[in-house]
Amino acid sequence: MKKWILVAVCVALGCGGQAQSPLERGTSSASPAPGVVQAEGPTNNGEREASASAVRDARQLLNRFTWGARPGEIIRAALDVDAAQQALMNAEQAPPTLDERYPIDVAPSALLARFNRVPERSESMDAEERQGSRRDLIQLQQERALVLAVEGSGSFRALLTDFWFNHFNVHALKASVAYSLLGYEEMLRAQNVGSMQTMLLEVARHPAMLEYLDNASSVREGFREGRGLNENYARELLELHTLGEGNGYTQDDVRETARIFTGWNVRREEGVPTFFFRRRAHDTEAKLVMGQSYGQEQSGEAEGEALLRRLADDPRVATRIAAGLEARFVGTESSASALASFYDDEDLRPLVLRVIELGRAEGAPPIFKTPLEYVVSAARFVGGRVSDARPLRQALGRMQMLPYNQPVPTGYPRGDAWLSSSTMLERFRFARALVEGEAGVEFDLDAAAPSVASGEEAVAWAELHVGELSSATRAVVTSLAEDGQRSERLLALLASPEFMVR
Amino acid sequence: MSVSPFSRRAFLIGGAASACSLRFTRGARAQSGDAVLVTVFLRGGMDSLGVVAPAADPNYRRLRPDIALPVPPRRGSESAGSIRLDRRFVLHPGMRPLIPHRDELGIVVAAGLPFAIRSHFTAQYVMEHGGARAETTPLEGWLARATAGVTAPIVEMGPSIPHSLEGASALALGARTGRRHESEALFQRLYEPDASPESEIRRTGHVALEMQQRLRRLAPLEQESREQFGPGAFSRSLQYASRLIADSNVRTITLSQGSWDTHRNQVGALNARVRDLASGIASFWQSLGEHQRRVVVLVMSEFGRTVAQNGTAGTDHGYGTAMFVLGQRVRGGVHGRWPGLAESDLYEGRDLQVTTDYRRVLASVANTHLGVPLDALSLAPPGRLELFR
Repeated sequence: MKKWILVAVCVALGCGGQAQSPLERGTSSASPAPGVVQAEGPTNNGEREASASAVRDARQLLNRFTWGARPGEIIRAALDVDAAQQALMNAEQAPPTLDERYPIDVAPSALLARFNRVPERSESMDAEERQGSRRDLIQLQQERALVLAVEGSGSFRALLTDFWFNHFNVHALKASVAYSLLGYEEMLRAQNVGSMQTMLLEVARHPAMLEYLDNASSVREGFREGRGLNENYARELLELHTLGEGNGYTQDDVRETARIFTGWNVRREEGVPTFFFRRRAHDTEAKLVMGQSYGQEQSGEAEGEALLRRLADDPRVATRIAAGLEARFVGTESSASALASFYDDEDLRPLVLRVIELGRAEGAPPIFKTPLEYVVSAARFVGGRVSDARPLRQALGRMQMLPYNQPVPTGYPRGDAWLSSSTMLERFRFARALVEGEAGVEFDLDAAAPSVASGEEAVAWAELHVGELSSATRAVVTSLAEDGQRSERLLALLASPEFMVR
Repeated sequence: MSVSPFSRRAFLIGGAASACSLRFTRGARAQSGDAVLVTVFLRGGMDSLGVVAPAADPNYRRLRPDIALPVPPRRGSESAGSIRLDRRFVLHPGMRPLIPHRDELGIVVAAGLPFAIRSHFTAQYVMEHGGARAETTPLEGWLARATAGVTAPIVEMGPSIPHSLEGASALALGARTGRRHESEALFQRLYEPDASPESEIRRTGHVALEMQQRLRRLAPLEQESREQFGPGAFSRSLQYASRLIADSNVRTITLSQGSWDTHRNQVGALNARVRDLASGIASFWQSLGEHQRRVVVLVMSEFGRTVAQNGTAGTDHGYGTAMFVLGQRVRGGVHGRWPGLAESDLYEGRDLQVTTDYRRVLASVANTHLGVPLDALSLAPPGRLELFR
């Protein structure tokens, strides 16, 4: 394979860590085209080389462990891939203007005050539509999430938040989840490389989860006329959050677990849903879950806490969490038991680092992007700034993957489950809208698709971003080397089979 | 959860690409003959007891003092009131356009999910995937499974693919932009079948573009239907659907009709919905002409509504509902066991009980009409449900 020398402009090195690299600002015509890999070019003072393998490594790292590389980021990362990986473990930085553009106070009380006006009712509206202002809130939150993903700093923590949200899925349209949603997501963001114990506890106590899986109203039998045990949360705790379906528990265990969580309810304080342990609604009789008794040594809320700690520490849970991370970020299904040895229920970081290592390895299979990953990575690829998030939201609505909008507790399916003709057509449609400036995303064509001198350079530009091209893509890209064809070349890359995977 | 859509799809797309004359050649497993299935999803939860009900049942009249269907004087009466269907049930007067086809209209009463779900989103999601409960719902839509291996085009008349087609190679006709053919040429070049490492993505994209192009050629039909049948999105979509059936090899069509969520003053709203539905389907059925024999229409909704009217002359989210199946081989009339409306007969004391798992109806249609083996569907077997002659 031909050896490429990567040319990066000196100033780029001086400003590692900045949100925007100078490469994004375009360059003078005297310097090499930004982002272009030059064949065997001379290395002048002020330019540094990155080997082809470092470029591959950096590309895979950013494409797989962030929402996607923005212009110039792969080159920058290639100069020191390990440092780039360390940077990915930093918390995600929101674009500085996010709060100005999406002024949402995550405190449920503030959200309720602002979005709880009940609009005019109309006969022709659906029940959900009638709660218009809640719908406004949900749309605003969805749009804010999309802007954050497109414009946020490249961080694996952002994807981990998404991973855990999907693992502990809640639906914005259930009960008053819409008002506690952002707080729930912030909690997962804070815990995403922290302790599984803490995360399980915080999820169990969060009004978003309590309402979504109906534990908010689960009380001991006989507590009040017409009310009783609700097994929904207990079932999903065992089936989805921890052990996995049929993995060593019975329907009796589900019921006993539900009894342990009786009284883990929600109360409204001036309309704000808040966790509340309703002692009188708690079932104080002894329970037996998978051979262990609860309600004797400890009592009340402590029973649920003990069960959650036990689950966090269960080797089956370690394997299941490892398998989930592996499927999403490594693209394989074979290493979970080995990966599980890196699981520590009080510190998820070693497991996460091992997952990155496996996902970075050469030969890790490509993973078909979910609709969300596709849309966001395309908008990041062009270095986009979102001027109107509605088209992004609408595109994801058509693709059936709006943030916070999966009604079932299993969360959204993995990438390969999304591959279908309609998916492909929607992606083509979105790529075209994006490149033509109709997706509400502003970008600089010089940065997104810099001028190239030849078809070969056009291919080099494409391969820098997506790796080796198939012959069909190569032929198309080669034929689009003229300056006047930059938009079309950009469209070709974004619509190519190579860009459909990460 | 053990469905492996990827490998199954690989097979289906592979079949399409190797046929590669880029016509809609039939895949490895043909649907029986040239059978066409049209599904209509009534979104919002149809008040089945406002459409087909035991009007003379005192419980019915007691629980719905302001919204009950009137009791008609005699069978097939031409008066403006509701239509007597058999000794027990009457139909909403808006269903009149379908009366000429009553011998081929099967109505499954008290059908629904095996476990009650009262959220629109979750219930629709589970039903369209052919699931029983939210957490065990298969990843693929039930129609995607029922049409696996069939490469005849699958179309949704609206702007986005419904859950029932998730995982299928389907096109949302309402999403077509109909312009900018130049970038389609670019996409086609990118998705040229490639000899090098076989890529499911490439093949999927290739098939999608071919399907889109082929359907675009039928676009004049849409215009024609629009002119001929005027506004009324639902009936116009159905008319276009009938043109597709007559003039292309489309075999599977999905549509939705919204606004069935009648919480308040439901009589007027329901009248409009039922008329729109019945007249749309009736004129669709007539316009099919000789193609009628190939087609089955399946109408379903995510749940029924409370048996008792609520405080605002409407009804709230309930459980048991009704399903409609229209086709020349369908046994007309009421199917399924009627659970009764006495308080002790109701689910949780408030809702119509479900006596026919909706998955048995889907399985019956897919098996009898489309010829899909039952074990390929992951649905409940039809059992004693005998919808077809």
